[in-house]
Amino acid sequence: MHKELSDLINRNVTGANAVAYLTADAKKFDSSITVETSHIYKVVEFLKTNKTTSFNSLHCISGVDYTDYMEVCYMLTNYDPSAVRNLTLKVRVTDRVNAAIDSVVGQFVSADFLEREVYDMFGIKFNNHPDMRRILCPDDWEGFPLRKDYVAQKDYNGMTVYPDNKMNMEDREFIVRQNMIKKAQAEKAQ
Amino acid sequence: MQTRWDVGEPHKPTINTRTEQLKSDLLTLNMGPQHPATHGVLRIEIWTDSEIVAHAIPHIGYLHRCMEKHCENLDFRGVIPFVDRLDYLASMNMEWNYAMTIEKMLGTEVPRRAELLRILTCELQRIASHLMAFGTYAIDLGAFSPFLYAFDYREKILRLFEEVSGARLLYNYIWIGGLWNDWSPEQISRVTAFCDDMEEEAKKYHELLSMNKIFIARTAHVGVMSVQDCIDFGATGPILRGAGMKWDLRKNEPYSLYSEFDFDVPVGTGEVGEPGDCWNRYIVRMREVVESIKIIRQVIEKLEPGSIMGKVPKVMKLPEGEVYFRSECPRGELAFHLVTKQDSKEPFRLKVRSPCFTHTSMLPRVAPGQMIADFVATVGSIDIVLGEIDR
Amino acid sequence: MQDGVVLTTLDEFLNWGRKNSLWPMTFGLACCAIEMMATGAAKYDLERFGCGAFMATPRRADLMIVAGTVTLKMATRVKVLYEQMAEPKYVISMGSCANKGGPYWQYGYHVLKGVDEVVPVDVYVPGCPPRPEALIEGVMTLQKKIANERLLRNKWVKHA
Repeated sequence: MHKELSDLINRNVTGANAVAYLTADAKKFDSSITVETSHIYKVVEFLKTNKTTSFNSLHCISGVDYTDYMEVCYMLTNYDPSAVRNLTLKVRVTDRVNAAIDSVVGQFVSADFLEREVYDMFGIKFNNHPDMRRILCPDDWEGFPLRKDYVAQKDYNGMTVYPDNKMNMEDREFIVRQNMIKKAQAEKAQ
Repeated sequence: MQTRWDVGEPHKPTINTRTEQLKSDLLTLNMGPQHPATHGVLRIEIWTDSEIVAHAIPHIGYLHRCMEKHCENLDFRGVIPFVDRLDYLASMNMEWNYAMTIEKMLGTEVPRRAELLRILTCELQRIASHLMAFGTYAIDLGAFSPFLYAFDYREKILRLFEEVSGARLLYNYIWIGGLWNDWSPEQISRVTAFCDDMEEEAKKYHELLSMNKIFIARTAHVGVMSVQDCIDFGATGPILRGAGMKWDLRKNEPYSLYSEFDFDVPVGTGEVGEPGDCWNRYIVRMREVVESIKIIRQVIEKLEPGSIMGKVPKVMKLPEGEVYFRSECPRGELAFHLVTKQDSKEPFRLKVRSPCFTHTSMLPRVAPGQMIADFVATVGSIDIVLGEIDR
Repeated sequence: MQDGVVLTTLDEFLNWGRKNSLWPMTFGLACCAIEMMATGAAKYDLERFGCGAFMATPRRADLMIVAGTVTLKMATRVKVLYEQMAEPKYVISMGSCANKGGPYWQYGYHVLKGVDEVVPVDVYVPGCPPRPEALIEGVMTLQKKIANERLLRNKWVKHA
């Protein structure tokens, strides 16, 4: 199914470079289609409007941070029992400082909140989005929390984020000491 | 304020020439983040022109508890209590969905008794969640007694859950590979007695609230979300079914043993009001309670002694890959997107697709033109839980 | 005692009035709010302790039950609402999220580790979520604490 879909996309949207990633065990893992980042809007428009597979609903946009690049996955679906039902479209973003993708809000209204969440958590901006601002964290929050290299800020508006007297320091230090003792004993035994 | 493309035009008063000559600005009202308990901490910025709402902008994030960041640092089993706290009114359904996601990746086979008991527990949880929605919706509209009746019956379900799992609200009961505690035959007989009682109660609730003249006047023709709106926004669950579309993941993409059961999918037909309004969404939930009772009775007939936990490795190391698993929860279609690295002991990325998140984004489309009291009825009818929206 | 004549101290009289009619302000934030509602419902009745009238507005309430996780975004609002309450006012921190950050203490960058960072707390009720009986015990402990107050040593009178 994914191979045929990616061929269909490549025939109808020039420059999309759709590559189907097929897993070895379809019962355990999901397959997906990766497309060129700059052509995501055209691919989504094609998938929504064509007659064979009309994916008319966008359920989820999920971002993943693999440290050298970031991936944004679009979960498209439709409510037609006879057609191909679910599809995962992936797009890669390599620039971490000025990450930007075209927004698909023109095709799917549900992308409004979903893209704002990806921006809030990963820092990927969406061009042509009507309201590009943070959704879960406060508007003046620094940093993008779900990135792998995120370090939380020390305090926010006068409140400490991780106050020392509440971070269970005695237990943690106890565990570290115990581990060091065990390691020393293991080395002595050798 | 910038104009937003997806929001309706501000309402212009055209009653008589005198009001047209009076130029008035829109008044900004803040509904929340602290407003009478039920929905939690949701803030809706309402721009009104006298009593009519012109724009409504939801602001969320007041309960953002960083659950997805926690999941990246915890063992696969240790994520289950966090998953509980997503939609805390339907914890069993959340746990089941997560357990099924991991079991799909591991390829574990869950014993039949465990599957049947999982279905039993989750359908009971569905009844409890809909009872809660019923009680709190009535309170939103000003009726106090349905709340007490609903909570009385909900306490019976919570009592059963407490005996089986040890907790009243956040259970940590459905584990990867099965369940951690079994149901005794005496508890099963109490479930049967509860089902009989609940069927009688559902009829009483129908007379008490559903056919009440005032309730109908406040909810019929109010907050209409058509099927096309629902598809555009990705809405699922009672909202999509209340709009008239017969779509239930338990029937259309059956998971677990649901294909063996015989139950109906209630749909809003517009018998009072029109399809897609608050009354039809409410009646879909009440009818789903009756359908859940049917499923529970069939489960009890099919139940046989057996083991409740499948073969699961002691140290859970998952292969590399990703899974997107969806299931039908009381509020809509919940899905987990799980990404793992080779031989990892914790999820690399766990994304929760929450149904209430998409339902909240429908509010700016539905609000313009309603009166403030109608808007309160609409927000109550979409039955949101902030734990799931903000994670 | 003669009919119709009662002898007591002013302290006891005022404390009796205050502790037997604590009107809570519903500050239900998360899961603990559901247990608070269950405590107010028919089975574990909170009304028999005088706390039945759940006021949504801070102006009329004298007890704030912070039930649920307080996030950094919400913390300023908690403080504002606490300041809007009229004295004498008391705070019960319900649930482990409000006590010390709860299960989200370790990696929660957006969670306030305990509501006592912004608001002075009188009684802590542990549990995740605490059973309705535990919340009732918390209210009873607060009642005992109020019964021990002395008018002239009171913090409000001292600063008046």
